[in-house]
Amino acid sequence: MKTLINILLLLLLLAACTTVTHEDKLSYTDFPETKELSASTQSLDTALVRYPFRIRVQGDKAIVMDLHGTDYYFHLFHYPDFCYQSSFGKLGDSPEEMLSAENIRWSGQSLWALDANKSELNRYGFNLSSDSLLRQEAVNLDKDILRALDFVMYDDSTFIIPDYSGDNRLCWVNRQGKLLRKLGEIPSTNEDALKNSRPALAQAWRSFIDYNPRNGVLAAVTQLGEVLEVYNLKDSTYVVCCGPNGEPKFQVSGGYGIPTGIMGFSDVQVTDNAIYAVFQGRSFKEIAQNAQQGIQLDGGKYIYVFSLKGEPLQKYILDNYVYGISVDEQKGVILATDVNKDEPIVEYKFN
Amino acid sequence: MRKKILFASLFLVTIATVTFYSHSRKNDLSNLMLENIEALASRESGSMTYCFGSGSVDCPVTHVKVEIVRYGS
Repeated sequence: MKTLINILLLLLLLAACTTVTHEDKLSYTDFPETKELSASTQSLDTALVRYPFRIRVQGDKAIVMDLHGTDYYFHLFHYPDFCYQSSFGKLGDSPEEMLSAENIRWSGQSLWALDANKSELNRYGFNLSSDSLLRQEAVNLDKDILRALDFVMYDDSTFIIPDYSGDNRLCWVNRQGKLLRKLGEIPSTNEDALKNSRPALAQAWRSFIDYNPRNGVLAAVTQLGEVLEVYNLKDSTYVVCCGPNGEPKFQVSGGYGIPTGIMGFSDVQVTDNAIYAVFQGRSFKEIAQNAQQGIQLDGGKYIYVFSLKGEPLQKYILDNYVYGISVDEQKGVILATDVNKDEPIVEYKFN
Repeated sequence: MRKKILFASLFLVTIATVTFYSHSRKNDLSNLMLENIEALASRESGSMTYCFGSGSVDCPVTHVKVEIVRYGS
């Protein structure tokens, strides 16, 4: 009898430690609606940006992140006129400077920036005249968090970072940079990689994430292949949505995951009503051929719109190749970055 | 004779300069790719991992954002 009670208690304990998640698998071949969008170019009064990877807008401020910045990674503009105000996030080896930039996120009047090569999150705040941002805080990430390549703010005191170990999918990290817990698994059907090459699998499944605290939806899109994952952190449901290009294709070489398929998604945003994701869909073979011929077409020509449950809703075909997006559903406007042109910001009206 | 050699040298330098500038724009990306080429012997086999160009893929070797990652011997 005592043994039975002990077993029951153990089972109860195990059940309490496990997050119950309802999992759903979807696949799509096309979208119910397709619409072509034409861009209007936002002229900047400066030519600072080399590879505009991300754009974040809040109120009358817009920040453009340059993935390959030469002096600074971030540039502050007045919005909507895109009048240049200042640059920050200086490249360099000193403690105040950055070795790399992966992403930026607004948090109230502060801005967080992730430096993967330093394994550090930096918080910037506005100066008194609100025309420049100054570094106010640095959070060194726990050594257990392997190569943080994206992040979102879960709440004021917690970050979510994609897991790069291959064991899980997402890491919860506190304001001191300490790993709190992990969630999910890579939804791969590649049994061999799951068994023998988890780090390479994690590299191939490198995903961009976004989280909307108002509806509790976190979306992750793969940079290679065509997979969207939707985690509803409020009701603990989880949906995997796989497109025609399937999961990321890769070859394991020297322990690394070497891409062999296509470039997939390049940015994602969860709004109050939908999930917007930029999709490229070009094979690495084509990219290499273009590079040999001196053709530079980097970025995606499509924005896919999914419901908050991962169902395909709409496909926008763009007249530019874009990378990062900032969607304003109320205004019906998508701001996007174009790494191929001297004028790096374009605007699409979709209503 | 000296003048002829000097004239011929100047002519060749001018032609080389003009040729270089007319092709430099076209070859920007190729040059960039060559400049950015990185290689490292793999840990487990004799193959090498190469990262090319300037893009958004995280090179697993150098941790620099590149356009293409490849492997070969």
